[in-house]
Amino acid sequence: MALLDSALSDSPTATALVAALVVVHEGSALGEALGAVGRQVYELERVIVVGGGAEARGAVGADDWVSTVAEGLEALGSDISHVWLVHDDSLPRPDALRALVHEGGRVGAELVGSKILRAGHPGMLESVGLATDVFEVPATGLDFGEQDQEQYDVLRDVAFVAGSSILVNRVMLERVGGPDPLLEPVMGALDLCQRVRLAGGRVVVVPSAEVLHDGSCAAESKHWRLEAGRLRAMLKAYSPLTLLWVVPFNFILGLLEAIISPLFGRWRLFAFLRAWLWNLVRLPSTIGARRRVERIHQDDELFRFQVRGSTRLTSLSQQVADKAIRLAESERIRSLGHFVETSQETVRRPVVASLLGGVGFALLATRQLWADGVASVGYALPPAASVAAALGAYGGGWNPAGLGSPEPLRPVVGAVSLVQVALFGSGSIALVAILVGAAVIGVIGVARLLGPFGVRPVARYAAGVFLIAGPAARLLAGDGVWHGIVAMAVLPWLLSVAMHRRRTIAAVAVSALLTAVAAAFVPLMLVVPSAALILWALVEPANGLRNVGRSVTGAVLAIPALFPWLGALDDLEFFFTSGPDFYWSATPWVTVMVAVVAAGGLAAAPRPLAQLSGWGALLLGGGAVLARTGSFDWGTDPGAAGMALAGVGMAIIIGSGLEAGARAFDIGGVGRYIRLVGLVAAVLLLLGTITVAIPGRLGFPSKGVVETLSFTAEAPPGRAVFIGDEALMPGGGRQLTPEVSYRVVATPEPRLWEAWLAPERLGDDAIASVLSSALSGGSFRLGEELATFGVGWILATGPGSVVDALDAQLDLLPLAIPDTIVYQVEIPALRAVDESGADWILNGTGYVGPSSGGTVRLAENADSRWAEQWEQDEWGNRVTVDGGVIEFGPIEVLRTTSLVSLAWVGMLVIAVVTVGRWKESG
Amino acid sequence: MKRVLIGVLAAVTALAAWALPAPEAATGVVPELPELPETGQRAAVWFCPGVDSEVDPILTASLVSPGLVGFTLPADGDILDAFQTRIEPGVGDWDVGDGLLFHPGPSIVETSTIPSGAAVVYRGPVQVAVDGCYTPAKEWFIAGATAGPAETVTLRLFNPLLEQARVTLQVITEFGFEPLLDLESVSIGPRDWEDVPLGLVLGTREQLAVQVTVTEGVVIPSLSISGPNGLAVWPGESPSATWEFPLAQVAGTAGTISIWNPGTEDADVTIELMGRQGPVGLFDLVVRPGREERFDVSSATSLEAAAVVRSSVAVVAAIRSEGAAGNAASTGVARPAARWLVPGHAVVSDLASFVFVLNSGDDPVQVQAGPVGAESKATVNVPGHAIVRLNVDGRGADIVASAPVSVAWAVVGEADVGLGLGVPLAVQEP
Repeated sequence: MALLDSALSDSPTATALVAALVVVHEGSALGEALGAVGRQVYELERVIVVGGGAEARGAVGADDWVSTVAEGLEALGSDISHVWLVHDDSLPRPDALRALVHEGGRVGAELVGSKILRAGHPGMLESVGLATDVFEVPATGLDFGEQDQEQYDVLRDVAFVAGSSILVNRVMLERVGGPDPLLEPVMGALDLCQRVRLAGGRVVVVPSAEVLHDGSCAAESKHWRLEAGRLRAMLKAYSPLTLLWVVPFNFILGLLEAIISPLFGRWRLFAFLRAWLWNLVRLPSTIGARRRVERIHQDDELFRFQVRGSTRLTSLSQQVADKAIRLAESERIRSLGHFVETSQETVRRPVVASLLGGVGFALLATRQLWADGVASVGYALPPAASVAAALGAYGGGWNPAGLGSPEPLRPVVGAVSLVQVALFGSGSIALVAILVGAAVIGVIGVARLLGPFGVRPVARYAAGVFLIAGPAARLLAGDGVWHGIVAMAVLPWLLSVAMHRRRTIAAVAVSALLTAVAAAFVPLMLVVPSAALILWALVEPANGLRNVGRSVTGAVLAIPALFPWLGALDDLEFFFTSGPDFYWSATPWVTVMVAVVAAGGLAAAPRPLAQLSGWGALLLGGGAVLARTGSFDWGTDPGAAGMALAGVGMAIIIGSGLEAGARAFDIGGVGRYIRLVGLVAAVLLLLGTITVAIPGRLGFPSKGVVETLSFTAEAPPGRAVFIGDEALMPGGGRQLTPEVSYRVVATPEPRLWEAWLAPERLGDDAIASVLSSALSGGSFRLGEELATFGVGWILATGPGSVVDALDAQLDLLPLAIPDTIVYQVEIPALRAVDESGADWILNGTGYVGPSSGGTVRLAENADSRWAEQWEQDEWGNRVTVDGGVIEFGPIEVLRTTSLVSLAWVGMLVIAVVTVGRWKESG
Repeated sequence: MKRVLIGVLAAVTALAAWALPAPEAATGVVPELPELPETGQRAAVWFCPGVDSEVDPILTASLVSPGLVGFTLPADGDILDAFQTRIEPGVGDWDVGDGLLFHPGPSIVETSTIPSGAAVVYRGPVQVAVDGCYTPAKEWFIAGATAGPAETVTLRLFNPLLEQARVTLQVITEFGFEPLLDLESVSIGPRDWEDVPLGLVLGTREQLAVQVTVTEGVVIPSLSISGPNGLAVWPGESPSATWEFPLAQVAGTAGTISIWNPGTEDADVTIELMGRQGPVGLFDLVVRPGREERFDVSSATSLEAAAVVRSSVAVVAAIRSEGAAGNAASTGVARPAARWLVPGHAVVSDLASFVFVLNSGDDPVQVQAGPVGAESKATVNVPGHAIVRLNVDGRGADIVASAPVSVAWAVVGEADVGLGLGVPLAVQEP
């Protein structure tokens, strides 16, 4: 008898009488499932099909069909000791039930589950028991596509088992009330297992019970249903104390995922909202179900098999890492599908290590910005406190720069406002987020640009580091031309897309979007990439026309994104000359070192690297010409575009120089030494980036104009005027003479929408006249005259006779502010004052005052759109309003144009996503 | 070959970039006030230190072209009162005593156009004085004072701006430098003044000179002496090697020229006295470094006389003219000019006012004189080394000479006299 296997016997030696409830999810595979169930070597007492409607009912007959599991339980005879819940998309191996019964009985488990393998890929694991985190997010513990090598074939207690095949003691099943019919399969299984465990039962996975699962039931597991099920399962299982912190955290995590998921092409916000709404509606049902849960154990039993931390957060970070890896990989490598790796293997790869190093440097070089913000120098002013006001101003509203203007704001203001919207209106971190993002994408962009030329990861990421922390970035940051840094960071991507993308339509779509982004920050980026590609065509004629064509087409398609500003740009001279004269005065050290690297590359590097060196040198030379046009009174824009070009040129030179140096020993003779000299020079230049990394502000100074003007914070909002050197003024100034400029800004804190001045209007001419008169000795009551402009303070940005002239004024009170020469206007300087003398307070770009309204003099440039009852008061406005609010009446054409422009950008985004999906599907 | 071409092209581009010059203001420093756009006429501001005595100030200002004149009385950081008037070429005036009896404070005179000039006539029941209004300087020297037992000697320090000001005072007497610790650093509040009672601080002194060094802000000093003979007020000045006094001795008083050598070398000084008839005499004296010497004009002549002081080194000079007719004082003219305004001349109708023109040169000078803004002027000939006394009929005096001359003016009251200098102007090009 010892040879007789009881499991193969029909004798009553069977330890359990089992009935199978085959739960229909998808239905099409019901016949196969029933066949697999029928082939079980452990004989089933009965097989009942659950759900699936008339089709399923017809397939098995009315006696063996029920609509719910609960009905199925009722239909079972009293002799049935165990119930086997099987999905209709599951194909249990013939010995699966036997293993479940025997192993479950052996260890005394009330609920046992199977090892689930993917149907069609029988060697691929789907689950061998599952764990969760505290937020009930399932975790298989498996790597994607992990093969079954019996590595998990150990009988063990788990948090829950897959619902595809569950054998459960009938008594226990009736005690816990059966599966929750409201939950989809995954959460249904989790919920059932949790209740069994709380009721004192063991949940065990039996790996020898193999089930092939084709996953049809996943159609029911839509994201929102998973979310809803998780929440319901938590609400039912956890103690109130645990729920007190788990539920809020779960909400925050869900929201975070909803915000981040669009980056990965998924929209989770609606699923998130729907899941919570679903639970809200079913809260009474959930409470009722919770009351019915039998609790022999407490939460500690649930915690026993939970993984530490948040699986969802881990998953998100993994997705971010994957995304970064995909960005880092060259397209050639991506197309080979080599990026599928485990996390540990990924990190060990040079490309990823370099990527992490480059990105790490970018984050290191910007770390202090998070704490301190971006110092308000040059154009780096904090975004508007109210993003709605900023968007309103951008869309045909009042341009508050200087004494104001109806001219449209620069696209950069709109772009920053959109980022601000994404950050829930937080202006304080919008600029920081943009700059940190720019630093990161700048590093990766250079690496992407150089990768296909055979520049290996370390060299190309080092070149990326040089882009964001080299002389170009330092100069741009030091002068507060922060938007130039953004444009410079996008430029390598633009070049890479035009040169390396295989499909022209994809290249054009991406190029258009990237050009729109870059040109929003520095409008000349409409033409700079094409110019750079023309230079490349000189170096390498192959595909030259194609590359330039792609770039030009992208630039043309990007033009609508710059409206309404571009449409209203009728003074090109003003555009080219506004802002402080930009002048790149490279140190001899940098000049010589870069020249050595470039010359070395040209002379001794292999052909592709030599081409890169030559191209980099041409970009550097061309960019330097533009970046030194300050002597022609060209303003900031040409300089910023030139500096971006020069920065990318230098990065290319450094990348090719490092790579050539790394290959020095591939050759002999003089060439080897030339490469080594270039390598040494490139490394020395790279060392200079430490000066940016250590302070951690990306080259921005620690203090700016906001700190300088902080003494005005106690007074009502007003204006201050800077007089002296234009380079020291926020956003540059208007010239009184070639050496002396002035700049009117709002106090206590000038905002980004003031950074770019519009062409002069009446008030600007008037205040220039007043200042000129005082500085040339034409008047000695400057304060009295400036007060009519709402200017309460004067800051002299240069020593010398400007200060002497201001010192001679009779109504200016010098203030003792360290490191700053400041005068306070003696009399009250109000921007808006009514006939009773009441001060109307600046609010956004408008004003608020007493609710009774009245006639108000506005110290803004005259424009009849300030109110219906309007009259010109010299250069300003006198308006009569009924209420307590004065708002500039928007210019509808500009507002409509801005909306169309926004829609156009949206279309570009959709085009890029669509093209990306074509490629993925291809 | 291609590598070479690209390298050459890059090098040429880089050289082109290198050749571009830096903008001129790239250093961020504005050393000089550059040429500013024309904004019409320049304005002028004059600071009048004032005097604390029983007198009413009558502020006067002259314009040779139409414009605005504003008078302001600053006090204790604020504006006590102000008056503004538009005038055609001529004189605007404001009798502060109309509203404020014996206002002791300083004043500010602003004019919207230049050329302009300002002066103050101080008139009281007994005392009369005149003084000019001045523009800022960093160092002032005041010579010629005394601190007699019956005199009240007061140093007025006027800060016209809204900024705190600070000065350092050095007092020189017949005993040499007087180490007065309290006066080493004197603060003057914004738009305010400080009166330093030198007579109380020092006691009796036969000679008294003060150096006022402005260490912060703007300070305009003046010295006043009030005594039994009346009130005398005079300002500070800067050392010069030449001083001309168109009136060194007022009629009815005895003139004294005080010469203070603030330098480190002996000053060999020549004093030339001149009267209406021509030269009176030439006198030499030596002034030791840090000392003040006096020359008694009345010892040479009892008439109205002018004086020219020429020194081997820069010295400070002032005249006091005191006697039964009154008490007056004045600084000298360091640089003669061809055009002068006398804003306060004949503004106060009950005081006699005279203008004195000194031609210290060898050749005669033709002088045209008339009220400010008058279309026609009378012409007089001033011989070399002589003075003339002009009776300009009208408010203010506008003196145009064919060569540089010096101009002073005097007012004569019943019991006191006042003496001041004209305001030199650059000759307007036709």
